[in-house]
Amino acid sequence: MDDLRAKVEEIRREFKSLIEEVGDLDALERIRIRFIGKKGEVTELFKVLRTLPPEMKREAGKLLNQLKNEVETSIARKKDELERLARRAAYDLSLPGRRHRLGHKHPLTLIVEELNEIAKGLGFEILTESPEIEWDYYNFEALNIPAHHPARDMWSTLFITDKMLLRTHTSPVQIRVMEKRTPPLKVFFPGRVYRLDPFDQTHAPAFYQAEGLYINRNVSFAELKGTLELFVKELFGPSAKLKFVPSYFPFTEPSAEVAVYYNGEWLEILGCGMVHPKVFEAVGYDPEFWTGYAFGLGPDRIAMIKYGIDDIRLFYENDLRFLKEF
Amino acid sequence: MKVLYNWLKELVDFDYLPHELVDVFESLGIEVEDFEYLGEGLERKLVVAEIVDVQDHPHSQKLKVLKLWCGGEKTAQVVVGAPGIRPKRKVAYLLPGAKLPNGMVVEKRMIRGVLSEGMLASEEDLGLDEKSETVIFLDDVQGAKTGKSALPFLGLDDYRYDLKVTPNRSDLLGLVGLAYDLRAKSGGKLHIPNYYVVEHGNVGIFPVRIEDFSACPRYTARIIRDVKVNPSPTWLKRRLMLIGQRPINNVVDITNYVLYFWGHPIHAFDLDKLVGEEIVVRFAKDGERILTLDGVERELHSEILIIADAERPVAIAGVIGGEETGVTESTRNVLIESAFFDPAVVRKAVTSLKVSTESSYRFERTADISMPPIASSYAAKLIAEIAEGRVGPLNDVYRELPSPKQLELRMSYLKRLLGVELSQDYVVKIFERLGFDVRPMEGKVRVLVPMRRRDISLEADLVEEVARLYGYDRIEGEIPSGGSFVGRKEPSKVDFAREVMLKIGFDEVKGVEFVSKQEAEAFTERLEDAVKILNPLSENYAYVRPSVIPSLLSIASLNLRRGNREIKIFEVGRKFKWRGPDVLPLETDVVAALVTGMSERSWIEPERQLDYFELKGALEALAGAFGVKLTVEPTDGVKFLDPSGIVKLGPTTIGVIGEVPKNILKIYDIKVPVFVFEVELTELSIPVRRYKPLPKFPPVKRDISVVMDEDVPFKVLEDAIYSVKPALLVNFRVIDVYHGEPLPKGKKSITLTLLFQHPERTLTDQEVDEMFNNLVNALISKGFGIRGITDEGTG
Repeated sequence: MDDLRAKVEEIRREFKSLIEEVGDLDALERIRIRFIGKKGEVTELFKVLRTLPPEMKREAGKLLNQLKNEVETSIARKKDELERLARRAAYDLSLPGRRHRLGHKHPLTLIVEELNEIAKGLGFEILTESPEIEWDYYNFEALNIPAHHPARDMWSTLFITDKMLLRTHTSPVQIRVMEKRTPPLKVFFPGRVYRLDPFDQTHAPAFYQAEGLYINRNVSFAELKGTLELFVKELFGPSAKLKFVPSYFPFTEPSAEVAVYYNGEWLEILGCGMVHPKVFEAVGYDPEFWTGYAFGLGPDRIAMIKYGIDDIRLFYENDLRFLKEF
Repeated sequence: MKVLYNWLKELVDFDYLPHELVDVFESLGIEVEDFEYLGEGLERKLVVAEIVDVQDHPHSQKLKVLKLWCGGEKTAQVVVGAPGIRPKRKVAYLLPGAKLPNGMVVEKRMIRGVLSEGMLASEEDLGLDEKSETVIFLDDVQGAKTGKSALPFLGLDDYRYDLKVTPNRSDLLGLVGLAYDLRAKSGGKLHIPNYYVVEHGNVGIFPVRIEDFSACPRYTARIIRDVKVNPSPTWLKRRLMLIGQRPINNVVDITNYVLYFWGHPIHAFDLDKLVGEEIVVRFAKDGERILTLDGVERELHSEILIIADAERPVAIAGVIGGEETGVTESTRNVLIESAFFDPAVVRKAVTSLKVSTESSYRFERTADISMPPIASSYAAKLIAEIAEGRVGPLNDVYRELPSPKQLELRMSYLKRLLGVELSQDYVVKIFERLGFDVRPMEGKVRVLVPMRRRDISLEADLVEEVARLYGYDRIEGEIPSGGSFVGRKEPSKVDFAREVMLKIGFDEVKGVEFVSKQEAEAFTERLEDAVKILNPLSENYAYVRPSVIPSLLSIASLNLRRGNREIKIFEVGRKFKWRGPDVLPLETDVVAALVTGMSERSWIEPERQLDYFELKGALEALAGAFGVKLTVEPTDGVKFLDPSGIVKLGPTTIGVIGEVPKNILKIYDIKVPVFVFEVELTELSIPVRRYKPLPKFPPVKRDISVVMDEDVPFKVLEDAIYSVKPALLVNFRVIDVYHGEPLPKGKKSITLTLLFQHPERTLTDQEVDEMFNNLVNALISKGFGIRGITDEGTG
């Protein structure tokens, strides 16, 4: 019995030292065969068990089973470990993965969406349908800009015929909306506009504009100011400062230009004013009964300011490296 | 409109510092485009110096070597070539480091072997005259003490503002008008000069005949005899130079000065060059010609108003005078024209002749009809003073003159529009300062609008005057009441299509909506379908795009040139179709996509040419998102694609897809294959979301390989399956397309996986076999071969 115990201990020691050093699955398999294979050392010991007297069998059996268990468990654990190591070698987790392409939104889309969101939050209904090629009447006449009026020089115009043109601003939508609806109304409409201006750092022949119009009883200039203050703070952050200075648009009276103090300088970003009585007359609204305000801003310019872009042409070149920055 | 600070101060009292005046202008609604100190770069570098010694230059006969005393102990040596140099004379000495208006920097340097420590300034050097004969002498200038800065004595210790006046405020296009507006802000005193002139009856008057009083409601003519035409005096030349006007001669300079000062354009004729004894204001005859002062011979037509003598046009009314009757050094007697022309008439001349002048600029914006006599008197007074001459009486021709407008401003309207409560006294004070005649009444004020304020005709205009002078910044912003308005946005197809394309990894681009004629031709059936621009920016932008594809191609071209290799882009944008001059063009929103280049190689994926099927998959994803089936029908009918297909929604064609052929790629200088589609959004709609119960029983799969002619499109097989489709065939997929052995030449085999599924129970093999066989038989009867069943392609 003592012999057996000594033998078990010897095998255990031998096994432990071998299993600790084993480095690959083949060697592990050799160890398994050597100890618990059909003719393995441990298996052989069980044959000795049969020769022992019954009173010792119990204890010896326990001893051998314990050894066998130990060996099996160690081999299984080692096998797991070695397999894991092998897998780890084959699967380098730090290698780059399969590429998934992200579609990038155009920066001007991002800004237009942002403006729409802000306007929506301020209770405006967003309109998206309007013609980009317009009648002179909607682009100018109805907006109190008659033919041969020098104010027309404020918009260098691309004409299709003497009566049809590429709209120079989104303001014709004011007229189209007012013709269709009766007040009160509160609408906001972004869209493409066109000018006879060649591309340079700050000009493009085609660009975006967005415009808001609110008509109700007793809408005041003070309310216009309050609305735009909220609008601009939403757009440029709560610390943005605004400046209103008198200006001229034929379709508003009084008219103002709005500048925002951003990154250390005053930047003109908005034109606005109270809807001109002549515009109300053109659409058949009673200017004694209704008052309203209108404001317009340029998403291209806003995008340039917000994203720190110094050349408007980048938007229309569409270099993918540029687009992927957004 | 350029304005000098000191000059403005001569006309109106205010105590704004030069930089403060910028903000004041702005608060009045006058944009300051540029603001500069005239002595910029010359501070402490331009001093009054006295010549103490003059020596001949050792190596030059023309040059002199001067010793200057610059005050105190300071002396300097300069080399000078100008005439008039004598000891004791005072000059304006430019020290080394001085920066001249033309950008030149004065340096200490050797001139033919002699040291010159700077130079003596001439009017030309300082931008005070066009050309100088000699240097500036300050001998007789009061207060010009040696050693002092010379800037104040040259009018250069001043500030210049370049003002941008809005088109409605023509009254601000003259110094006097600006003074009125400033006075309204500052409340200071106005100093409008006296324009009374002594008239000599014996000089005579010159007859004027106006043919059309609506085009020319007022015309004044005044003769001035025995004028001495010379260069203008220094002060006049300098002032004109500083506001950007080229001096010509005293008479012409005075007309320019009056225009600038009073904001009213006038013109001077050489009286002796006028033929006949009458000025006629009439419309030109077609084909009449005139050589104008800018040296251009112009052909006139019957919409252009002219000033004529007995024989010919002598000026284009309100725009520009004729060369032959202009004032020159030899002129003895002049005729001063000061008139009022209809703005639209002048504007027509400007647009049709493509000439714009300081004069036309003011008439176009409506001049002041009360001004002609004043401007004429002031000009005559200056001519008499500067160029001598005997001034004749004014011949003032008009039919009727408007009187000042009377308007009322209700205090309730003011409050309603501005949202601010202002006292009536305050409002009255504002109008008084603006120079309006004002009378307070019960709940309102009544004003008489001065003639110079042509922009004011409505009560709302008066509100703006009050707001402007009260200060926009003082109006407290009011939080919007909000009330019953709920912000909303209808879901838009454009946004929906954009989101789908972004999700599948396409980048959004934004093209310019213009194309060249060549492009317009390539992308329309007939060029007449494209919208042509009457006055395009350039040949490249001659038409409005008839398709978004050309925009995508331009963008792809730029990216390929810049080395971007993997291009998958789309635009949701608009295309335009001409429908004749009486209706607006058809504008259609489309989603267009383009694929070209190579996918990037990585350790795990090989480099891959982006092909047609990359794009086709995008179209299918789009169709799936919109919840519709879009089919592609190969066709020869699309002239800008080859091979080309039309995209159909049921029976309706809503787009095109295919490869861009070489002849079109050439326009964009692209040399690699490019695939595009364009789908109109008109017929599509955002799907209504609704839950459909999931199938409870598993589908059964069967594969089938169909053999067909190589040149027959898959679409034919697809249609055939749809036409006999068993009810329980829920889906089928193309899993293989095979050409070659053992198939006969000219054949291909398309393998499909068919999915059969019953909504309420599991299908038996027998049932599936039956459906499968029926389908096979139907396909065979339609002429398709089936691998393993028919002979074809079984080898």
